Amino acid sequence: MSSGPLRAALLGVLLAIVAGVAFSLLDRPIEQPIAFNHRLHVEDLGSDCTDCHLYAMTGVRATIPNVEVCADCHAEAQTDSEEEALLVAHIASGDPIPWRKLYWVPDHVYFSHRRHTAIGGIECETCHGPMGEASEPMPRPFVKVTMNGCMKCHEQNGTSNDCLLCHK
Amino acid sequence: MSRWGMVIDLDRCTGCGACMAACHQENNLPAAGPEESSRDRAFHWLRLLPEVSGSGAEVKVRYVPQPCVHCDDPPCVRVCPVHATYLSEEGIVAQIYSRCIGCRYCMAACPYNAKVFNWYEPEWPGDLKRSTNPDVSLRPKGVVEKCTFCHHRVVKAREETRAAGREMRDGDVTPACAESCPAGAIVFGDLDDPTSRVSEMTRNPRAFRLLADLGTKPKVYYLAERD
Amino acid sequence: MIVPRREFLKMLGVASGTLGIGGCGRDWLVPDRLVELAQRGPGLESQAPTICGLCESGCGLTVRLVDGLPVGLKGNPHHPLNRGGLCPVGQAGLEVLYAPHRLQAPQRRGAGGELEPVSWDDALAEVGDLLRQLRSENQGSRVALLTDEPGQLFRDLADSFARAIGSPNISSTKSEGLLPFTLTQGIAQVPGFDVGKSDLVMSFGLDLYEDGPTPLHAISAMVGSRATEDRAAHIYAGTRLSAGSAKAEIYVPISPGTHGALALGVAHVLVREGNYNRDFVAEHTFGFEDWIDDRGHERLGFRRLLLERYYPDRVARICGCDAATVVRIARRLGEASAPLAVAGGEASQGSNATWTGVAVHSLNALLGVFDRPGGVSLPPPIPLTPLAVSETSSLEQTESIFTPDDSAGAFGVDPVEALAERVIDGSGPIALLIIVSSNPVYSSPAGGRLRQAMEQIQLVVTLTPFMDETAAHADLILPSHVFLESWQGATTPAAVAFSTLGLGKPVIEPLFDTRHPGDVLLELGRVVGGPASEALPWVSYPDYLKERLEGLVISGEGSVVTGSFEESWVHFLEERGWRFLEHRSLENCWAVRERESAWWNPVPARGDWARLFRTPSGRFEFFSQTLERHLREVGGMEAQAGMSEEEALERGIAVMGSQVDSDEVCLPHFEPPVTTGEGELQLLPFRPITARGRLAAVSPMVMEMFGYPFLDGWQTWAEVATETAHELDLADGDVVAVESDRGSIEAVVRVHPAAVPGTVHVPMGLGHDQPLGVAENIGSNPIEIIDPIRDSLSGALSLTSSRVNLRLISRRPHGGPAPLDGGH
Repeated sequence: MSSGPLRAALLGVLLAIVAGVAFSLLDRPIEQPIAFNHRLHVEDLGSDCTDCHLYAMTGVRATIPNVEVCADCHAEAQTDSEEEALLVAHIASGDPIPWRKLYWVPDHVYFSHRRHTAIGGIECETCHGPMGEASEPMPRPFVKVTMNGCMKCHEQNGTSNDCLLCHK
Repeated sequence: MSRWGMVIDLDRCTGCGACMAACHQENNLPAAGPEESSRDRAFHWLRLLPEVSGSGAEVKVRYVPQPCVHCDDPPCVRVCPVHATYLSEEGIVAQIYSRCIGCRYCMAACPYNAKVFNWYEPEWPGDLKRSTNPDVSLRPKGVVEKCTFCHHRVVKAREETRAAGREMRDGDVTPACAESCPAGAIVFGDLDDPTSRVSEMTRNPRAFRLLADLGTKPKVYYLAERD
Repeated sequence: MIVPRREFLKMLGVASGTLGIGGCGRDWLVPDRLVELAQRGPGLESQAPTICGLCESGCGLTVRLVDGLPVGLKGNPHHPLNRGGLCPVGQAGLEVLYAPHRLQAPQRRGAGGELEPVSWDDALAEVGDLLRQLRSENQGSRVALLTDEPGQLFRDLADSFARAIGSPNISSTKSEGLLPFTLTQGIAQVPGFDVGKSDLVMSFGLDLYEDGPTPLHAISAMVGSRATEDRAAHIYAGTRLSAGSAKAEIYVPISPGTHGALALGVAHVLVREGNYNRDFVAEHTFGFEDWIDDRGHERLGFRRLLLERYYPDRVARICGCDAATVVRIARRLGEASAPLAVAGGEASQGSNATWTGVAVHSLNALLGVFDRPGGVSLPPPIPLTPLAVSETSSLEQTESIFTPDDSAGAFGVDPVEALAERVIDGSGPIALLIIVSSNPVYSSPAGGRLRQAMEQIQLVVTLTPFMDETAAHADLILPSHVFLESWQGATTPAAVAFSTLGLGKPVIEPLFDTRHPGDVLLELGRVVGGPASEALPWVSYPDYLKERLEGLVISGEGSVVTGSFEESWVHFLEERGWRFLEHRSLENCWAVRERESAWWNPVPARGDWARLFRTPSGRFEFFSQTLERHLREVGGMEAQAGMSEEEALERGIAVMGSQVDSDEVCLPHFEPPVTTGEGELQLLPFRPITARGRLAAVSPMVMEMFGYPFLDGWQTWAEVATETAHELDLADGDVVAVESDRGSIEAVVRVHPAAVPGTVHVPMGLGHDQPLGVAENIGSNPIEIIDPIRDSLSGALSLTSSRVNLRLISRRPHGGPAPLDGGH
């Protein structure tokens, strides 16, 4: 009895299961240690992205603000929010907040914020979506960062899609 | 659009090995270790190839620093089944690690022996990974790698000049090997710019290219020693 | 050691991008804060200048920082020594900083010989207690200090420390090779050789571009900073053709140790053909023509000696070269507008090294290259703030353990050997030995004896960033910073023509509980208290550096290096005076120096012959009166009173083991080299550029390219000539045992068509048996099998005098690099 096709089919099923499990693991919702409210800060209080993401215009990474930045306003509690209390405790202890990244690129990609914002003139929302409207931490990014997305935008803007511009 | 090229003046080169070491540090080349090195699997994107003629007092020994020569008609690109290695817009023969399937056809096709293969997961004992350059990715096991003309420096230099609101100039980009050379033997620049130093040097009568008769059109030129 | 095979699962772990996984099952050693910054910081770039501390050159470095963390090193293009270039070992600086085997805290050897952690306070208190006790018993001379920390600034501090505790016993572990200059020029330093303006450098045994005090300076000054048409040419005479020496216009393969004879043969041709600088020789030399001494005796002049005894045919026979080559070199030197002759490497490591040095230096006098651009001069002194020398009465009466033994007749000693022998024979009862930034057990032929001696010393303290062979036998191991973590002051290296002062400042906070050796000495001074702490008043090492630098500001000499080295600019300043205008205050000067990291003074004082020639005659002495006086003293001391001066001289010559007549001995002459052992081949260890400094073996990258001229790494090779390999039926890649009377080491045969038949060259730098770095138990150390004999004049131990045999262990395995002479 020839088992070739059967084996192939079995292998295919197995691979599908493995892939499924892998994807569901990768796609788990992201939970943040503190329920930061973007909307409150941006829409209600009128902050700019760069007020907290200090290097969005000048750095390779925009940086996620941590206790030193938050301490500018939250050294003492400003509201009776439980989440703010968590933050104030962090600031008091000096322990960095273990934020989890929502948007990231793999290690083999060179992505410079400055190159896109200050030089390219692209708005934050183009890649990050309307983060300023989120009142809860996002479990997934608004806009999924994919190579296709990058390339489509490059194409539309007449920017080169040479692999070497981003792959390092 | 630039077409990057390099000129190495063998008359100036003293064989000190600085270029080789600088390339290692800049491009995060891991150490293959004693066992793999003895099997010719050491990671060198740039080697000093010894050439010997004669013997005794009449011996002539010279060392030819040889990176990837970045052919304009690269044999490696033709054989890559997945477009992992390709000729970039600016003439750099690139290796995209995330596409590479490790078939090593390109290594077999390359007449310059410029590529190396990651047989094992690279080792960074202790904290040594801290000394790596964040501009260059760490390659995983199973991919081919090679000299990139330090293209990350090209990318960064362009970003810097744009931020400063000016055009790229000759000398804005210097690969690590050229930068470290105490003899000033390595010059890098735009071959399409007739006023660049490299263009000028390629017109020197001493200029030659390795295995030029193969028709690969390398963009690394050498200047032979003066008599 | 790198483990080559890795399981697939681990790859998944690494591929997931977690930085927390360390290789070899070790956890990250750097503080979490720094890892966090590297992972999440904005990626802002900056640069900081500092000084490379990995060898004695002290090249300028520019450190690339991302978010304040060092991620790359390159040569500082503004530094006058290396001008942007950086050698392979310097490039490995970050691997040394982040090396997995760094010592992280002080350790003390327990009663059972095992190492246990100890606090800095307890460790220093222990040393302090012993120091205090010795001082109170007026036994400061039972303390000895060996230091190879580069630069005059640290040495001055260590000298102050030694004086303060009443010890005359302080030395570097290396002999400096300055005796030829003392004999001919009367100076106690190696003069500067202006390779930057020379058009032809004749090198005897020195691989100019790889070895010597500053190979990177040689490359940048002779080639890098000049147009291709103007680069300096060089001629190389020696027994092995290194990658750099392969650039020589003429290569003269000669028998080992015959460099001096070749120099004299060249001198003969220069004199015979009248191709020497008559004005200089007449005005500024002594002993060229025959002369009449005080007592009316006619004495042989250098001219007659050369013409009678060093004719090319005889020299060619001695050297095993061609007489026509000797003439050719002489004519080439005579034609050059700014020729220079230098000796080094194998020529300065033989049993006749000093005689060779004198013979080679006499060429410079014949060519009259002193005190002119492209020639030999003394670098201007660095106007540092002088240190107050305290009045210590007891010190003056005690003889240093490093004083030469009168009966041996040498001018000096090998410091490691002297220390070891005198401790073992009881004549130097050292109770406390402090070893700073040095690994003599590994690097000295007397290392084995030192190890024995260390067992007899009550307390041995080593200050080192890594566990090395010397620390492995010490009682107290105090970890030092790696240079990137500390303040450094680097002063003009030997043989450089201009003076330079490099200031290195830390580019990263110390990763571990380490201290700079300077701070340790200052702290010990405080622990001892009393006059010791008064003599060492500085709070910290940078505090000390700052005070010494004040002298520069006051003097107004030299300039902080800020811009280009254009010739015109230097000429402008030479004509109009070199002034240090822009930095009138110490604070300002310190700030600028921190930013630019180097000061230099390229303008030598011309015409100061009294400073250049401090001999009895005030001239360059072909006939060394210093040597004659010394030989008479040595001869006279051996005998009863009433002996004539001639007899004393004869006896002195006999004590010295010289093989020439009394009329010749004080002139530059050839003294045949002495060898030991019965082997067929002569072993010549050499230092490749990949083995510079003490810490090269720490870096996996340096190990991977260790033998790069043979496309080789990670192993010690034995380089032999094609003929020699053929005679011994050896092929490239064969594994052999190199066997001397002392022992045996393993090496891989590399056949080189340009090596001199009958020699075997083995690189130093591998064969560590301590976890100094990745190179533990990799390769072998040729020093181990050297049977040391002395240069009878300087007392230094010869490295190139052992005879060895090669015994085949196994044939070349499949694979590996292709033979050098087989592929073409």
